[in-house]
Amino acid sequence: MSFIDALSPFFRYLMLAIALFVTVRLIIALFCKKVTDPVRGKLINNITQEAIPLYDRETSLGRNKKCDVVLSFDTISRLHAVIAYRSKGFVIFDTFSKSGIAVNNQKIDGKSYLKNGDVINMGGLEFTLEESKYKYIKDKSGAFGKPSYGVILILLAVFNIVSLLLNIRPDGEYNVQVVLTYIIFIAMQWLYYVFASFVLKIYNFELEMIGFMLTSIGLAIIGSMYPGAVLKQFLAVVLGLVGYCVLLIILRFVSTVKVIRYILAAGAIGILAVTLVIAEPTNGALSWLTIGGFSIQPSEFVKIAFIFVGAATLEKLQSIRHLTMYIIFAAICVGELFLMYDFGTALIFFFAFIVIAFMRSGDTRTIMLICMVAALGAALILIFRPYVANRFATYLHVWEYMDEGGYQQTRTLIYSVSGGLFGLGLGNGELRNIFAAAEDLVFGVVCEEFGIIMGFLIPIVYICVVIFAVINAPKAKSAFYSIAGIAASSMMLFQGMLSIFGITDILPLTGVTLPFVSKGGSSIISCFCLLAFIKAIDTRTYASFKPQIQLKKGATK
Amino acid sequence: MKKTARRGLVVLLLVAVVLGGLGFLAFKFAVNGEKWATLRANLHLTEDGSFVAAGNITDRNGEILAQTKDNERVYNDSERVRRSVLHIIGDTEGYISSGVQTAYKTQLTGYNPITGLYSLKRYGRGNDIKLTLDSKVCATAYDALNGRKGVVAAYNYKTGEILCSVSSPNYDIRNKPSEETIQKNENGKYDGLYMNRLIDGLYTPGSTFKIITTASVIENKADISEWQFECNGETVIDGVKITCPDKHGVMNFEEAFTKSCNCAYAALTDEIGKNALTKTAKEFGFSKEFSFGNAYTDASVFDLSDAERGDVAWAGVGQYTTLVNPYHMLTVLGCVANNGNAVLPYVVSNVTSPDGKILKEATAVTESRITADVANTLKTMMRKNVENNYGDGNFKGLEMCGKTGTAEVADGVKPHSWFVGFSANENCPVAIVVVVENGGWGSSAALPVASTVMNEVFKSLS
Ligand SMILES: [Zn+2]
Repeated sequence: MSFIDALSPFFRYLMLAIALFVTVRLIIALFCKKVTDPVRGKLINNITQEAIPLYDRETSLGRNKKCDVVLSFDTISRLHAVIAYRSKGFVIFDTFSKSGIAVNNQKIDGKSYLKNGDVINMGGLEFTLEESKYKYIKDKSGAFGKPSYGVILILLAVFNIVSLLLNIRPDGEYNVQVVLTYIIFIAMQWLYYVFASFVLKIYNFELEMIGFMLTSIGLAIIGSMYPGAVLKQFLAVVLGLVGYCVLLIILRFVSTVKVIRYILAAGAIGILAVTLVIAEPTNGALSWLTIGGFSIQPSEFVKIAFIFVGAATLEKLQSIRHLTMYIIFAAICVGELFLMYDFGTALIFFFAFIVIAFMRSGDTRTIMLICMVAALGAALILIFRPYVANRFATYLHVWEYMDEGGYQQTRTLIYSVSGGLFGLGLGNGELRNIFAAAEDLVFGVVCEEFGIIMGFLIPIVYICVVIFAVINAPKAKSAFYSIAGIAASSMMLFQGMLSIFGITDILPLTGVTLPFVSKGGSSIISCFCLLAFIKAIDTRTYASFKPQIQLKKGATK
Repeated sequence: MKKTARRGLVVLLLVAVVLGGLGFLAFKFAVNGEKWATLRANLHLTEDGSFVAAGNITDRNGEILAQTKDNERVYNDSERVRRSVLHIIGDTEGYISSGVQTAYKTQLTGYNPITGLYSLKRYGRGNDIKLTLDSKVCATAYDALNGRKGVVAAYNYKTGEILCSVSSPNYDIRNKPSEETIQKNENGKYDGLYMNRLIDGLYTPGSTFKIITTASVIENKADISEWQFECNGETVIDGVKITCPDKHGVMNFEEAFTKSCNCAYAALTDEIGKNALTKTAKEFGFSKEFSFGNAYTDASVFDLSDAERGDVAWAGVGQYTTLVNPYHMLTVLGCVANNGNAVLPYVVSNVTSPDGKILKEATAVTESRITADVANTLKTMMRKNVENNYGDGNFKGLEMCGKTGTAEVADGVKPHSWFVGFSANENCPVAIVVVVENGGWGSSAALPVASTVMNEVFKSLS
């Protein structure tokens, strides 16, 4: 052990250097990626011979200036049609236009698949579809956009081996479990890399590896604080990764997801209701269900459903022009969370709802109204249930109540600065002895033991992922991906913000976990699943998919 | 599609909020880091609420005054030393706020914003602090005070090093009296127990103030060498009676200083006026807070703004509302001893990290206050005062210059006894201030203490 003790001053720099290099390298890759945006086909105006290019993404046509293709004719409805490039090739959707759409002189009912040479008639305008011969997206990223994933995986392995070395204790009860878990964790990363490359045909892994990096920081802390819980946390990572892959596959078939939306919506409301009824209070909240010895937090899984239900493809957005159903669904979910006294999660859901509602409708007035109603509701709760307000009584006064209500916050601040920029080294902190250190206070533990630089790196990573989502949203294959990806990434950032600023007394303490880092199985599973939505925004994710009709028709005829 | 996706830009608002919040958090960390990390609640530093993470504190000769052993703070073996340095070392609970263990907490823990408390974690203790004190001299001074309240302080007026600083009442930090006993404060035994009288004490100066008045007279009265005065034991200025303990008879300026004649000084003060005296007091550093390590001294008070002529005359002999801080008095002596340039006294010599690196070294600050001529005239007068008045027998070989003071504080209470002075011997450039509270005559209470301490200082330096 003395050998490890002697190296530990070096280890803390090594771990920080790896974390910095890996995250910075991956973020650079996210921002420097460059892929072609091929024209999949053209609509040729039969009279003017003007060509309207059609890309991978959904194209809206109509008189309204908001449409991607503006057709300023009185015979055209404001939002007339949407053309999408789906798995079976081009599809045209009639989004309740007044004059309708005809394909090859046949009036369509709702939607119609298109093939090369089809003549489309909209409000007297006639177009011919001309499919392109180019089928694939090309990755033109330079050296910056293409990191060596092997090197990153090796660095991640080094990071995990160092935490493994630091977490072996003389006579430690769980040493075998800890060592095995870290080794399998390293193996899992490589396994995923191979599996995703060959089975999912994914060839870029920035988001997943960012997830691995953050998870590794969390696992290092959990391994040193609760050696008996490392295996559980690791299994949650595996489940999360499985969920991630499944979601990626489901999301590929974006036009079929609407069927499961209703099931998910009902399921979400149902499971929250069940939790509300049968949960035993834990730390003042009713958010935990215990099933067969495992404690799960259903609200974490509802997050995924919440985004799934909220996001929609462009043709859906254009045909359903009101938000009523989604507002009702969101109100029930948020209401149930409120009744569980899980205010942090309720706030996160409310935030995601606002983002989704705004992206769907752009209707600022309705959203302002909803915010006002929500504020009124919150005010009413504070009036009729004053003890709710007591929870937040120490906000901005933590030093006055440093041994009562402000205990967690003041200790987080004291120990965060005690670590300095480079930390005291894994296992040398004091914050770990405070209640909920590995869950709610984990940002402070990271600052104290890994240093403030590492602590701040975590929210910076969330921010970069959000910016990545925002930049890539306009080119996503479907509006569904744009909405879901932005909602998921910003939800993660919002939760990170509540967590970090809550325990540092910049915001009221709501007791939420830090995405990917905190201890907690449900949370880590949900984080990886949310990552799938962000991944779907990236056009490269489904680039290798070869549309079948296109294959048959393209070159042969 | 483009419209929908573009609405996603709205989440950049959240990004801006989070970035702002992170900036604010970084700012909070930077500004408050030191304060938070050195709080008593930080268990890296404390054991049972007591500050144990500090490094060693040693005196000028390397004698350990305080150190941490087995998670406990241990002090010097001698009770005399422990008591004599109590106020300089301070306690671990922070009652003695100017004590090194509290005021230098950050340095002792080794905290810095870059590495936090890492050095403490790595070496098991914080930085070491070396003081300028000589613990032997301190113990001698403690003995000499013999339980009376007051302060003894001596410093090297060439370098600024404080060799001795004892504040009384004090207690043995190893056997601190119970909080209850202290609160009870029988017979005022624990008056100002936690206060270091050197830096927080304020005393009526009595005749020791005549040093300042003398300087002012030399500066403002050109024909002072021809001046003569006859003392009848009392004089009246603007209807206010000024008294002397004896009828001093006819005398010149030098004799007036030696005899410490109140009537003569009252007349001189009346002649030069309150503006001249106020100006000189300002030059000497009245109303100024001096930085003492990481703390500040109490400023000496000299305010004649509402004084009538009679009040001004009393102020000239060191009464009225004037109050002097003993640290400040040291600087006054240093200024006279050192050709008008006061080297400010300090007590922390250096801060060293556990691996022996010197992190901070004291640098002397010098204040130019009066001309060398005035200083040297004063010095000669003070030298003659010792020769003719107290006798060199008290200060063998020291070429002592000095002035006693007997400061009336209230009716029915014995006056504070003062001795202030310095050695003109090149080999012992040390100034001393002694105040024995309610000790009576300056020559009977403070002078013997000064004599004992100066002789010990001389011994230690040669
Ligand atoms: Zn007289």
